[in-house]
Amino acid sequence: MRQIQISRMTEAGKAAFRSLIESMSIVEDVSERVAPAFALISNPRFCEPVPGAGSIDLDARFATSLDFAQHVYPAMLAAGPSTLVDPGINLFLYLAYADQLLQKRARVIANYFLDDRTPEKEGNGKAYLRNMRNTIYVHLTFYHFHHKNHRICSSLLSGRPCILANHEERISQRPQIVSSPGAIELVLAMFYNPKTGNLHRSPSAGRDPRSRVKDPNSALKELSVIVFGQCARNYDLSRMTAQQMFALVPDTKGLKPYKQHALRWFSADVAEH
Amino acid sequence: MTQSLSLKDKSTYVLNFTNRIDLDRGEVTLDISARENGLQFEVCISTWAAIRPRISPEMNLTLALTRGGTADTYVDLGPALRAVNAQGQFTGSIDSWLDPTSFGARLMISDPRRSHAIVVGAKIGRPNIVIEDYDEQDVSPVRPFSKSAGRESGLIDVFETEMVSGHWNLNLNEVEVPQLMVSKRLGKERVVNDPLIQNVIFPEVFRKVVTALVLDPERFIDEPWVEDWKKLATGFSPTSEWDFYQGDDDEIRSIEERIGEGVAGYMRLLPSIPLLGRTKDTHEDSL
Repeated sequence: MRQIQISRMTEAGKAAFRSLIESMSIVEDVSERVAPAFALISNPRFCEPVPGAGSIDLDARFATSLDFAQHVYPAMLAAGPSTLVDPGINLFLYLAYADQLLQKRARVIANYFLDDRTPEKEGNGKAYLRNMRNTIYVHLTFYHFHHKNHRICSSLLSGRPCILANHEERISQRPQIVSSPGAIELVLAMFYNPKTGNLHRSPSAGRDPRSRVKDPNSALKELSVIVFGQCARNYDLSRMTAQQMFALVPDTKGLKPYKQHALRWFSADVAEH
Repeated sequence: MTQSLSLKDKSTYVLNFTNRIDLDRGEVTLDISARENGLQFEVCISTWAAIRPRISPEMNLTLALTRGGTADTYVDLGPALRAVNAQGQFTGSIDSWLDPTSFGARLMISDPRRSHAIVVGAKIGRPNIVIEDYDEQDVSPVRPFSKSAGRESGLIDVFETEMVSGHWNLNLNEVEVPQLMVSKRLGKERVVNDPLIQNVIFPEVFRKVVTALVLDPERFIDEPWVEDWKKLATGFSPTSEWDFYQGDDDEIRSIEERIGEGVAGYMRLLPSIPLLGRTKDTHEDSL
């Protein structure tokens, strides 16, 4: 067991992190990055401990992102919740568990830097933050808001810590619903299959060849735009329950088939209680 | 105060079916000051008398703290009537994780009898920050008032081109980041993926860039990538200072030797390569 205090990458450390990712963006074995990553976090010029923060175990293994959050979050919270949005601490965690949080092919480098704005495109393109694609930030944020809700945590954080599932990414792209238990439960109720840990498969189109059914990703996008977009303007999302939001979901061609899943989810809820 | 009649959703206008009242920005203010254990806020609704008839005892008040790209934080402020009856002024504290210089806020009064539909809403925008109350900046473990970070980009761009003498060359002038030009025969893919090629090329790239910055700093003074590269090289300097490479100390060592130390440190970032097999000794062959 190798304990290390939660630390923050210095400016030199951030530059070294970029260099590390660039030089090892694709590896055959994820463990190849462990030695150089450990060299960075053991170097006081690249990395400084965060006063008040707890320690983590570098040898800890995480089967799911929930395991990861349960191990790391208490150590970070000891120094205040703003540690969750600190870019230097976020990079430190990527390095501390380089073999578990980085895939063989690293993601676009901007995804590792919290608050990094993408370059503005020519014309009317708009710069935007890529925090919603940072796996550590997304998983820890979900855990921060919903750690007391076992059902949300066990469903939403059931994948490997380096993976951002489609439904997680869709939720994280809309900041108004990340901290709303009702909205997240509605997404899970309509699209998440607890048996497989993935999204439900596209429902059968039936006998009529003209009827077209949306795949779950497109339907999830429709839910986000039509329901959550409207709800955020007209309802207090932090107080709404999943059933109250479900009552507003229209019977469109895209969403109607997935409402059947939600009915089963809610009836299972009633049976449990 | 305006009562909005319609909402725009893409190209379709739909009725404001919740009969929400929108307050203008100037009608609600939010002052934030920092405390040891978080942030203290003070909200003032100047038109409280006008909205009071719409508020019933069971309605709730919520403050949403928003920041682009970051999850909204909702603060439950309890019964709305209590706040409105206090002439629209109320205070509270939040254990916020956000830097108040970078977030905006929304105020919502919602009705639980109508699925928490918003009865009165207000976009507050940026809060007014009372800086005088904030004196913990240096000792705080986090940096709530730090500047929001700027754009982060890579340290080097790799291009495959025929316009290169030899197999690779470096372009440092008038570029966003240094450009490593590689020949088609060598290929970008090998430079990006092959640990052996990386171990051969990248330390020399590091050496060339740092040497250029040390020997001719005036030439690159306006280049946007210089600061990032100096930060990287500083991390590998034994004194943690850029001046080490420039030889601004009493130790008598050549600049090449100093930069060589930085290169040795930088090499630890590169992927390890297996030991190369030795060729047969020519002397043995002749025996």
